[in-house]
Amino acid sequence: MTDLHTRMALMVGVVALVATGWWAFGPKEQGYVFDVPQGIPPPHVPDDNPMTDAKVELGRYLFYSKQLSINGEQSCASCHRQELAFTDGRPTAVGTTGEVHFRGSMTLTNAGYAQRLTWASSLVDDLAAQALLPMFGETPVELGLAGKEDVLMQRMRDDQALAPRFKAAFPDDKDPFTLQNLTHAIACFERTLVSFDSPYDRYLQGDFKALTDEEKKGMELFFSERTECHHCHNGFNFSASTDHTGDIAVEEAFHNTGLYNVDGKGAYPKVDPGLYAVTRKPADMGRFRAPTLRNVAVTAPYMHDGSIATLDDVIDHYANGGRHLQSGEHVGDGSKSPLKSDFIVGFALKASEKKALLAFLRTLTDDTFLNDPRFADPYAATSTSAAAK
Amino acid sequence: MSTSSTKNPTTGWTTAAAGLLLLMLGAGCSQPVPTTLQVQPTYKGAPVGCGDVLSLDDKRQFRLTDLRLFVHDVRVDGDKVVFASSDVAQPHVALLTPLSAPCPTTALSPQLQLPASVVGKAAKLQLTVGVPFDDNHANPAIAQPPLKGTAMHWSWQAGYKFVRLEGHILDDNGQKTAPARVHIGSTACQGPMSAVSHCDQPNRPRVALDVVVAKDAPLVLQLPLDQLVVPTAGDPKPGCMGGVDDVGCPPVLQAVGLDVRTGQALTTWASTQAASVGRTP
Repeated sequence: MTDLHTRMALMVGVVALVATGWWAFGPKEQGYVFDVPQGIPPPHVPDDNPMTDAKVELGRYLFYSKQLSINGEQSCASCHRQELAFTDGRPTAVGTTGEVHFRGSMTLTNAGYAQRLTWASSLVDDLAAQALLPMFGETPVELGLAGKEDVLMQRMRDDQALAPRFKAAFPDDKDPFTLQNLTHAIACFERTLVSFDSPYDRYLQGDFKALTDEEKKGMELFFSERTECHHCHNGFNFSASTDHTGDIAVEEAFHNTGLYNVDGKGAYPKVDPGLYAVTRKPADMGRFRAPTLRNVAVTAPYMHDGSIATLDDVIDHYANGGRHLQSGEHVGDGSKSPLKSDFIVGFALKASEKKALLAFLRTLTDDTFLNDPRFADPYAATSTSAAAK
Repeated sequence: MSTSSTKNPTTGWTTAAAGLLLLMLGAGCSQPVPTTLQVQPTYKGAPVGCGDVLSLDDKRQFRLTDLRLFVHDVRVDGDKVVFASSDVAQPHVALLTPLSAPCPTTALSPQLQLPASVVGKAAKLQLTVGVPFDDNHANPAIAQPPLKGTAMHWSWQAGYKFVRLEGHILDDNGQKTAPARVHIGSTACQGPMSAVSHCDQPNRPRVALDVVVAKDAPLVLQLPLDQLVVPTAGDPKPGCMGGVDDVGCPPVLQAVGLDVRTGQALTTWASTQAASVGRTP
């Protein structure tokens, strides 16, 4: 049995356990049915924010509402566009007041499964709490609402699309227009953004023609000890930082990938030293969360700062065991960083192998997810129907 | 048997009632005296207010636009005192907002419940700037005032800004050149925000001053801003925003009496100043 076949067999075993165990006490009791295939556990749902259809609907309307920016210019969706797997195509994000972020917009693909949120924080572990950062953060300003929560909630009361949905989502609340309810609803919507209908998924479910021979070769390379890709991007979500119903382990998966080494000691540019900025532990310099690779083909540019333009270049970065910048303000050889993850060892690929690996990564694109009307802008649908009339 | 030694129940109850009355009267004498705690920011020893322009040097000025701070663990002569609950205070923590419009706050002051025994006397006032650890990592979306405001929440540090001081650096023509912000709060906090175990740098400045407590007069805490508004050379973003390599932070943290590395209070914020606190009767 080849290494790949062993892995596949193990995966089938896990799937069986999930199907017979976790699924039995899964999402139905929580008032919302997650659209995940059999064998995939639903995301973990916090006790204080159970899923309901009404909260999901409110959350979707909030996600796409520009009322959530101080100047009415941006919504959450401005930086998280569905067709780009809820990224924005920019190297780094731009907030509603024009302030440029030092990080790129992360994909929201399977955001409900993330053990930790944002690119590099050991603190943020809840989608509702994470929503506070873009709304109220000031370094940099994203939606610009710091200190404006009263203005925000009055907007919610006055908005014809949002106000009735607040009441429907929180029918037992005397005053449903609270910041807690707002963040809970957004979290519920984000938790529905599950993506498990890629060609790779169909292959796993028995459609062996869903992948070409080249893509299967790329899959074998991805899961090989030669490339080490799967150590950080593992499991059904292609991210070691994954939580789900029935999971009791907490794995904080942050890695220094040798992207920078500006001082020969492994330092990253001061603008963003990664997890070190939060923990201030020197060993956390340059450590970032390994994001899911699902839909990775549509989330360019890559890395936390968008500093690698294409997937092709990303593979070169890892093949080199780190990035050697020979010009510019961040000159340094990341492959020689003493803080680099042990998994970034470098590898050699033939041109055909690299092509196969790229082909496999593209099989993680889930067109159903990218076009799912349940995740789309509800206001656009309203505008379209109004125009049709 | 002499009856003189016999206890008269009626007399006994009367004595007890009189004693109780005396006790109540005595208690009345020690009823807390509500006393307002105010902050008066100063620069070069002079009071400053919203929009004031502070001269930094020959070429630069600083326009003050925001100042707020939390305080807790207030003690008078070592005895803990609490605040009256209000929009700006819970018994154990209060928000001080000395500036009014056009600054984004209204000057509101919490009331301390001081023991009557200290009124009219010289006393030692001690307090800690910041939010107690047990409250610092709570969810602001469900917190009670004064912890529910998002302007003072420091979401990326999963806590609160203990001090928020903001303004603009102006050139010699009075034109804005750069925003200047000082945000002081606990950093290097460990664990998920739902269960933060500790913060390696608590960053809670302390204040300890001699006061004379007056009845019907506020306690006025004069806080010098001198070292907080001057940009550090080479700082691309004037002020201190809590960044790990923010060159503006060391001078700011030292100015409020904190050890830059450990975040522990080495000295008190206001004690280096000659300014006094409180009012004489």
